[in-house]
Amino acid sequence: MPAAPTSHTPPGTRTARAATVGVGVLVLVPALGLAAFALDPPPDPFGGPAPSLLDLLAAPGMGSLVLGTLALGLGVALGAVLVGGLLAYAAERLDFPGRRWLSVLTVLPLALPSYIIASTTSRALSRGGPIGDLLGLQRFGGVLAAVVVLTVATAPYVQLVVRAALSRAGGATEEAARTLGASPWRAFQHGTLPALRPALAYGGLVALLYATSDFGAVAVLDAPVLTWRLFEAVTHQDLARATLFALLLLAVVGPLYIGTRVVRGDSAGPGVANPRAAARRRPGWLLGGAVALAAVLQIGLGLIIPVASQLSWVLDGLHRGLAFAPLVEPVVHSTLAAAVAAVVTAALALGPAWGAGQQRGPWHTASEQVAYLPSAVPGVLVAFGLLLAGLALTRGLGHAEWYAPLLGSGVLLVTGWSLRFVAEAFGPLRASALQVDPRLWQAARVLGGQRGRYLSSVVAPALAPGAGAAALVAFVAVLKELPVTLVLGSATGLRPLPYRIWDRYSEALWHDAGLAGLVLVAVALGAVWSTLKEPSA
Amino acid sequence: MRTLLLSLTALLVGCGDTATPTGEPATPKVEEAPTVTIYSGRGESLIGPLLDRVEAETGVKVAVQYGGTSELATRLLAEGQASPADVFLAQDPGHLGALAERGVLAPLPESLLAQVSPAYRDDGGRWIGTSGRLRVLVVHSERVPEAERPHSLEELADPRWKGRLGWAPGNGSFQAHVSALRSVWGEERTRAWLQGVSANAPTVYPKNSPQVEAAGSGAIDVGWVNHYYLYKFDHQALGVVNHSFEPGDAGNLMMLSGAGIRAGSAQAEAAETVVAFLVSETAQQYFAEQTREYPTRPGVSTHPDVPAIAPEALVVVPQDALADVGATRTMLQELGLQ
Amino acid sequence: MTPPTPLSVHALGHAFGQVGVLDQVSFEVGPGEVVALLGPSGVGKTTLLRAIAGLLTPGAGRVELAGVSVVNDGLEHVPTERRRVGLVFQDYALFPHLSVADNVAFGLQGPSTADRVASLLALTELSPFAGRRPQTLSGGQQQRVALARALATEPAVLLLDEPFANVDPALRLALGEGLRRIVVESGQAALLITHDRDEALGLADRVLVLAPGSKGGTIAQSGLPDAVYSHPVSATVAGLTGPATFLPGLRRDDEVETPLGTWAVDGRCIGGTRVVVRPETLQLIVGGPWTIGRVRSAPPGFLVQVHTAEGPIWVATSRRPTSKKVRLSPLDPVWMVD
Repeated sequence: MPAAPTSHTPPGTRTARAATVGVGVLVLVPALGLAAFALDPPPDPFGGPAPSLLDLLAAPGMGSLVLGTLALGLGVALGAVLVGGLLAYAAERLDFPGRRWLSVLTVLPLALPSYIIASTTSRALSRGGPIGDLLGLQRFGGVLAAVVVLTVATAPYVQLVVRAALSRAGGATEEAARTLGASPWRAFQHGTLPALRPALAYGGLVALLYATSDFGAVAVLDAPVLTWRLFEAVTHQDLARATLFALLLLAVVGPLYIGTRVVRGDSAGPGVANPRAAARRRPGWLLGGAVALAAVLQIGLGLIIPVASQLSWVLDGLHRGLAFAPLVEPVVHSTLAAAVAAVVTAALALGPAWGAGQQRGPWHTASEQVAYLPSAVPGVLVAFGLLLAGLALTRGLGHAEWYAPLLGSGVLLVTGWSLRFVAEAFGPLRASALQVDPRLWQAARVLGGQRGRYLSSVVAPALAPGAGAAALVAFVAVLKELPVTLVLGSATGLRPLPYRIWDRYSEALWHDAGLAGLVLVAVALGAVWSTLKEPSA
Repeated sequence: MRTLLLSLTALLVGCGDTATPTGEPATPKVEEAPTVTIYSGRGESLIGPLLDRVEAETGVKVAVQYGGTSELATRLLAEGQASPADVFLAQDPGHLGALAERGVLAPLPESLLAQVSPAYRDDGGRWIGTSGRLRVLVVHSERVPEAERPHSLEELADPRWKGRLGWAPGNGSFQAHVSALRSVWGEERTRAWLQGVSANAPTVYPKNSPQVEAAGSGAIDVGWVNHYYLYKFDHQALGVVNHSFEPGDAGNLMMLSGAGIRAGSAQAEAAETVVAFLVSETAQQYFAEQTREYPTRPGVSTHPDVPAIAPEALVVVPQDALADVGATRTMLQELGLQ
Repeated sequence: MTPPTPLSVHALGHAFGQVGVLDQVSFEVGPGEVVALLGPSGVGKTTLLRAIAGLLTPGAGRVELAGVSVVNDGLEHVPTERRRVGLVFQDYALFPHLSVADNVAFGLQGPSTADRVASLLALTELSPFAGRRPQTLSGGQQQRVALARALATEPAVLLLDEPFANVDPALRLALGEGLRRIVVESGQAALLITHDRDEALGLADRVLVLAPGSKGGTIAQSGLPDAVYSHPVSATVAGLTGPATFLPGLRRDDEVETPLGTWAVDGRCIGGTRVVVRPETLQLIVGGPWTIGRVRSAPPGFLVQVHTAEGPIWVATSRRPTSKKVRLSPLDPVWMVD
């Protein structure tokens, strides 16, 4: 029996596999850095706190820190599922004036970074802000405020997932239940809800993961949770404490990530071949009121307050004749840095995307896992891990003085960004890779084709749209990113827009923060608007 | 990115240094313009404009890396002899003292040190104060009428202040003040006071500026800040004022921001020029007028808005006490404030 | 006392925006009657079904179920869940999370539920599958589950939406007969919506032909299956109920002059311009002007294509034709329409 010739593998396969392995190794670097420090924490040079991790673990407040993180996650998951699920049902199954506007506006908050939502709502809802004074609120901060803000930030994603499941499910079973005499609620319970459960579970888990990983909102609102404490420890150079927080964070986030991968397979739910679109109905008072409440929360806190607040800060600054720090530098820095990062991220995602699109079996699974894994790790954790890896590497090589230039060169920064967003670049690239028919290579061989020509004339054009989309996604994501920028970016002299917003907000220079924020929000909204306009892949 | 290129240049220069067999720093060639690398723990928005003028005023090029004071101090220690830094600017005196104790800072020439009052420089001559910042309370003038304002810092632990306070425990000035309290009051009294204030549920802010604005808007009534933040705002419109304690009280701490030169720096001469500039009349007037701080150079007066303060009103704290940053951080962490 | 009419539809009309879908549709379904609503795709059958079920409110007309008016003139009096209709969906719409027995029991309440479910499962020959999930059953079995579930609530009328759409042609006969047996045995009045004319004519007691109109679908003819097939009132109905071609003819009393000959006309028909020609209408007679073209095997006989002056006409014969030249002549008096 003749053995199958190995040159049947299309060109680029070996390179793609090597690239996938490379990305996998890169993903491990922060973890290795963390492990190096966990196993052998260096003493604090100024005689600060003793570094034994077990001692720190038993310290007072550690338990409530972990509990606070979990409470935040669970609160956001619950809130996002309720708000997002309700708005999804309203968008797909209900009929009321302004429905089309609602279904678009409630999704737009996805564009806004959580620190912008948090900073604007915090000022508006605290005493001294328009709504805070109206409602007699004292201060909008802490874990409860973070739950509200992150619910608003994640509910749009849950809404999109549930909307997809609702349209797949079709309306027939709910109608069947009604013909059998079921009340509207019972008809929903048996007709539609069973099909929605996987989507709700997946959306809830993603919201949970996102909330426990978030940095921007919890930092602005000073919520006592792991990501914020980790960042504080890093800025105080308390690396031992930071390592402990990092390990705890991993312990919380790890199982959640595994959960999302497990549930993701079912998330679309069972569907019929050509689901008939369900007939829309007018909601009653209770349902209509609940939808209105959810919409006010989502659009009010997620869109109106952020934009209006920043606008009012800028106008107030103009009115008071304050000097605005020029925006040229942050805009230029942001654009250049995001462009570089976008190219690197797309290149990084190429190998795994090719593997997932073209290959079967273990390589296919491995490519997907490698690509999605870093997205589960909170940004501040990736940044910290890379920081530690840089320290460990330079000290291990005996040249501690190389650390500062390493940090200053921006290599770690770009690596951190790429790891953060490789999963998002992976999606569009894989979609393109899937469209390259493997049999084309066989046909090319029959026609006497060469690898180089095949790659340049068949593969490259097919991958180009996906690569473009991947780079664009990564560009916008890096533009808005905060924790990696703060931890790994300040030493490079880079002052992108998020840094400007963060710096000015903490100095109470609202007018500067507002101006930079408006530019960022405009770009982000533009990007989301254009993806909403296109038919979904 | 100037910093990137300059860092690489510094690295190359540094490598060249360690290859010299005599171990002494190589004399820069006459044709090269010296570039002094500054690690600045002072924020860019505060000191950036001044550092931009160094080249014009002195002919010395500077490359500045901004960061947190403790972060940069730790990095200086870790980098040791091969560090590219020449000058270290600290926001608070604690880390300057700590670095001086560990031999990281070189003794400054007497002619330089003499330009400021003896109280405003290191006893061992290894760092020099560039400006002073006074710890004060920022209060809303109507909600906290004069009769109610505390005479002593210790009164903040009183339950009547519950829900009305703000502070920034992550801030370097806060930590320096706690180091001072540990020296003046002792460990137990300091710890008890911190717990008492914590029980009043003060609002935690990341920095000092938001406290001024918060006192104006009513989110808090009293904030614990450095004096000059008041002037970043239209404080009359906000209705807030600075309040100092009775003379000699532990709350009246004058904290110095200062500069030191790294021992073993290849640009020692140029670095001295930079530090000299910072205590020159030009720079001192900048600190007085632009950032509203207390100048350390005698003969330079404060901004008219800033009230002068008699030296007797200030609390006296030994410099090495302020350098004990490690133990302060331990205490703060144990109390859950960090 | 006569039982109330299970379903009465009167002047039902509906439009989607400017496009008319149904126009003045009126008919009744009597007790125990199996009525087929036959019409091409897109004529409005599904819209009519949904209007009867209450899933849609028609713009005009009245629907009465068991004598009770449920919707009239655009106003809904009784919502879907309180109407007594049973609906068997085209894709069955079974609840995947419930067992077969629980699906059937869904609309039932009370102590007698279990008995009723058992008897329905027996009626539909699904008793062995009572505990299974619907997804594990075959298509035909799932349809019977849907039928049992709809029958369980003893609706005034049972509505079946395109029951043969997803069925293998080879199984249609068995399936159709099975459906009819169940419905008749349960004494249920039923309305069957379909575009499959073989099954409509084969299963129904009475056929309603829904034809496209300028303002929407409208009932063109209502009658026994044989009547709508053999005696259609219009060319449209003729075309919808079976294969048909039309020959121009000039009617003179009980005879018609056609290009193919002069033939006797059925006295009951009103139309006088076109003769309805189905494959079995004409027979082949050896010797004549017309040439035989293609001969198709159509067991138990043949379909023969004859090229005439009026174009090709398909004729059904039981034996393979022996000669190439024929003429055509009807066996019985022909039917004419306008």
